[in-house]
Amino acid sequence: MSIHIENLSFSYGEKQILHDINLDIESGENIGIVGVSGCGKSTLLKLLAGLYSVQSGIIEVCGARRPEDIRKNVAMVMQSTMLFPASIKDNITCGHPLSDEAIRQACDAAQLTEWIASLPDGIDTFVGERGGKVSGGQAQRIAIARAIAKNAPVVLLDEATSALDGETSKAVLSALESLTRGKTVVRVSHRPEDLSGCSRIYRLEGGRLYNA
Amino acid sequence: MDLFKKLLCKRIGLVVLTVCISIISIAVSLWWNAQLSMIINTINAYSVVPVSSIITAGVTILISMGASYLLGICSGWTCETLAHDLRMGYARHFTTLSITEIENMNAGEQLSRLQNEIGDISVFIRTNLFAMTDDMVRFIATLSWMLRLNPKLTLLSNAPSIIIIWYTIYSSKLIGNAVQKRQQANADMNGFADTLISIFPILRLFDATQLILKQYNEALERWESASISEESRRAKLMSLSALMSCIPLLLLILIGGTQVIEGSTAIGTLYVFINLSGNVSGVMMNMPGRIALFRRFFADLKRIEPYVSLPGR
Repeated sequence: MSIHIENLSFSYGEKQILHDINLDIESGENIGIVGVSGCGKSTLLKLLAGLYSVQSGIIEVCGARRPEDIRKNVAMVMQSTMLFPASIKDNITCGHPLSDEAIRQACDAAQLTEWIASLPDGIDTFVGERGGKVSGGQAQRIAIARAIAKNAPVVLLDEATSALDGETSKAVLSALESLTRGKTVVRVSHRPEDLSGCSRIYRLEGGRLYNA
Repeated sequence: MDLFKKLLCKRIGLVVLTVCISIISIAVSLWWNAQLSMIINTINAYSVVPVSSIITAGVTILISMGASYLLGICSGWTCETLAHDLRMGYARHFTTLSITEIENMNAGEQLSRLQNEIGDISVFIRTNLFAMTDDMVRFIATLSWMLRLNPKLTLLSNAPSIIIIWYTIYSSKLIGNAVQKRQQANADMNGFADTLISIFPILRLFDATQLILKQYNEALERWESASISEESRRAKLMSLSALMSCIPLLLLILIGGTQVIEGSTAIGTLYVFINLSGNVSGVMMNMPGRIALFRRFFADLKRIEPYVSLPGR
């Protein structure tokens, strides 16, 4: 079992967001969760990522229950790409000692190699404050390359394809395919069409999870 | 510069009133010095000072005190009004933006701008703007009066000032460049704190704390280095300027003293020259610092100009 959620409830102060969620996901499975904005999808994903501590119930990711241990097993790509004000290389490695080969492979898989080769400073190019010196599609692919380089068994995608358009969309989708291949994947989106290819789709409504 | 003009034009009545009071104040001060010179010359001639002269001097002192009071009140009021207009212009700018523009803003940088540039501009306006205007009025009026009293002594004692002025322009340019570098480094550092908060989830998830700390440390070191460089450059240039500023007073005593011994100048006139030398050489002595402040003020204004929306802009 890759992910096990049992009687999970979560609230922000008085406001109850998630009620008694139960879910089991096998290794290598690709599931989707759909729901309207504000229904708690991102909260559930942040709990699964170990960014929030569980208030009530159990979350187990690859056998880990403590948030700091869960985080080691999870890679995440969000809709609003968050890049560090550093070079492309630092954004992929996050300061960890990765081999050049591992970085090259992550760039290839994220469809970044050709673009990086065209830059005067190559992979050492500064991406700017909040990734302001690169386009939205390029920033998204850098974030995907970062997730690929982490090589975590679980991949979480939070509206990762919602803001894509035209030419950008093709390259990012291809990069996401490389990222999710052979991994346990949980995708959340407010659009059901973004979840095509998922083996199971759930609907999150009123803080409860239903089969969609 | 455009923003500064707009600010002054918006409150032109107050600005003109303050400058007028400054002119009246220096006129009264020069009149007092003329009275003083006359009293010294009378005493030097072993004569009794007439009562009318003493009463006139007393009245002049009272008028001078009133003019100083009015100048303080009026310049303070004008400065606060200008600073208020500037802050309101900055706030008004945000109300004109679209939601996309607001979302793309870095709150840390905006806060930095508000705390640093607008704060510095307000302080400059409050403490320097009319002090500098007053200095300029004082300089022009005193120099003109000294030229009328004793052109030879005025020109000879103040001739080295031309070198000081040249040096002032040169040094203020160097200080201005250093100030701009330091301000940019400061904005980068503050913007970094905001970025840190917005990327926090990714920071935790990818365990990138060391990377970000390294980046922040580099930004901090850049700011430290820029600040030290600015202060060091300012200290070197200002100390040389202070040394040069002593020359006019030395020349004044040397040449003026010789003229008094020769009988071509009255002791009262020399006393007034020494008394008012601060209005000429003193202004020059302060010029490098003042011009550096003025350049910094304009650099700050230039940086915030796109973010200030004054009515009519």
